[in-house]
Amino acid sequence: MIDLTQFYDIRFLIELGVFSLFAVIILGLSILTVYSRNMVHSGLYLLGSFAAVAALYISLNATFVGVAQVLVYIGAVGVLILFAIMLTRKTLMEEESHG
Amino acid sequence: MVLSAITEFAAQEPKIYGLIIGLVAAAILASVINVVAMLLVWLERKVMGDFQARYGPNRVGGRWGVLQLGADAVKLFTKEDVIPRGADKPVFVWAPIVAVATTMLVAGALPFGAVIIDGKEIPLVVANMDISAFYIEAALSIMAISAFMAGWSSNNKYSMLGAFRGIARMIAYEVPMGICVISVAIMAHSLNVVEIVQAQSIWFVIAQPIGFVIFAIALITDLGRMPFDQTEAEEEIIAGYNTEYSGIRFGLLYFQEYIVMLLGSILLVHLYLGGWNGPVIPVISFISPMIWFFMKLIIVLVALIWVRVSLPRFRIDQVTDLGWKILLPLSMVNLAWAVVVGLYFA
Repeated sequence: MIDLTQFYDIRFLIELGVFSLFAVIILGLSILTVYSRNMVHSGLYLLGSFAAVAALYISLNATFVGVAQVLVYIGAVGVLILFAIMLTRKTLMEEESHG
Repeated sequence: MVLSAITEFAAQEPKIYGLIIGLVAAAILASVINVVAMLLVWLERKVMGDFQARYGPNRVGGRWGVLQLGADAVKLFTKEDVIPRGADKPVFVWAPIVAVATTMLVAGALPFGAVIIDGKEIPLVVANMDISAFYIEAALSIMAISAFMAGWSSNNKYSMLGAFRGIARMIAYEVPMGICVISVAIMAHSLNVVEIVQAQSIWFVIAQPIGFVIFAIALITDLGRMPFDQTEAEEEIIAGYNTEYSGIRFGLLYFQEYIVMLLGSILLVHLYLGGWNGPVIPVISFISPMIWFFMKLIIVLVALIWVRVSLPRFRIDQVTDLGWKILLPLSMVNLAWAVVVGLYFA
């Protein structure tokens, strides 16, 4: 049997709300990353989902992992991805995507 | 009566109470920082005027021109907001917002001085984390993203070059800066900025002179100020990634630079100049740490303006050369020094 009284606990509700919020953000941004037609937009959506993952870590009291996620994934990997996309040719990509 | 109700609530639900207090403190902090950044614009124009033997702003708000900043803000907020036809609209609109948001992340973990109550030192900080120095370093490292967004979305080759330069410069100087923060943390045996300040019975500028010089140079570069402001070199690339912005969006990007300047100077004061440490002033002992902190902060800010008006701009290749070939090896030397002195002789 599930104990239904726990759902009336305000702390549990806040925790659930925060988790659901970030879970929805992560899922939505990941889907946008895959389906976006523009590579730079994909990269930026990916950075957003990294940030939401960091927020999820922090909400689970894993502050160090969360901050390391920001430093490594957003600060280093994300900027590297954006830099690499920026070096590719925009017009060429558009021709390929329409052909 | 209200006070006792609040105390009772705080005792019953310490986490929710902490959350509410944190949100209120964050709101106050955000507004205060914006006002101080505006004052900083005024200070810079006035000090630059003095350096260049002219008056600076002196028409609006009396002899000192203090209301000039208000006039500037009103002008920026009421100007027409132009979005170029070829621009990538959502990214263009979000870039200034991301810029200010990532800057505010840094502000949350920085202590803004301390007060002494009943002989106990209470630091004024919104989020006192165990790893706040690491957190600040992470928040500083994501500032390149807003520059990239602004430069790429403008659909202008000069903006794009500005973004390229900004990212190349930030990558080159993040590494030595991070190693300097690590050296400080090793010597202080803590990653908490408050504990780093409290550990400085000898200021770290004396304990690690090389680290101070590297950190100061990397900081000026991170702030994008003369002599390292290649991202907005007027003679070469107009205004870098700011080129296509106007009105309120330009205002946000412009104020963001000054907010970063303020926060960076506070970080320098905390890591190397002993933060709010200083002898207790007898009559006003309550705010004597604040007095020391603001004295050091103003000296650092004026020194930054002094550097700006004194030195010419470097070329971008010279800047990246300096970062990778000189500052990175030197910061390694400083790290070794911090390990030897901090762990074996302390």
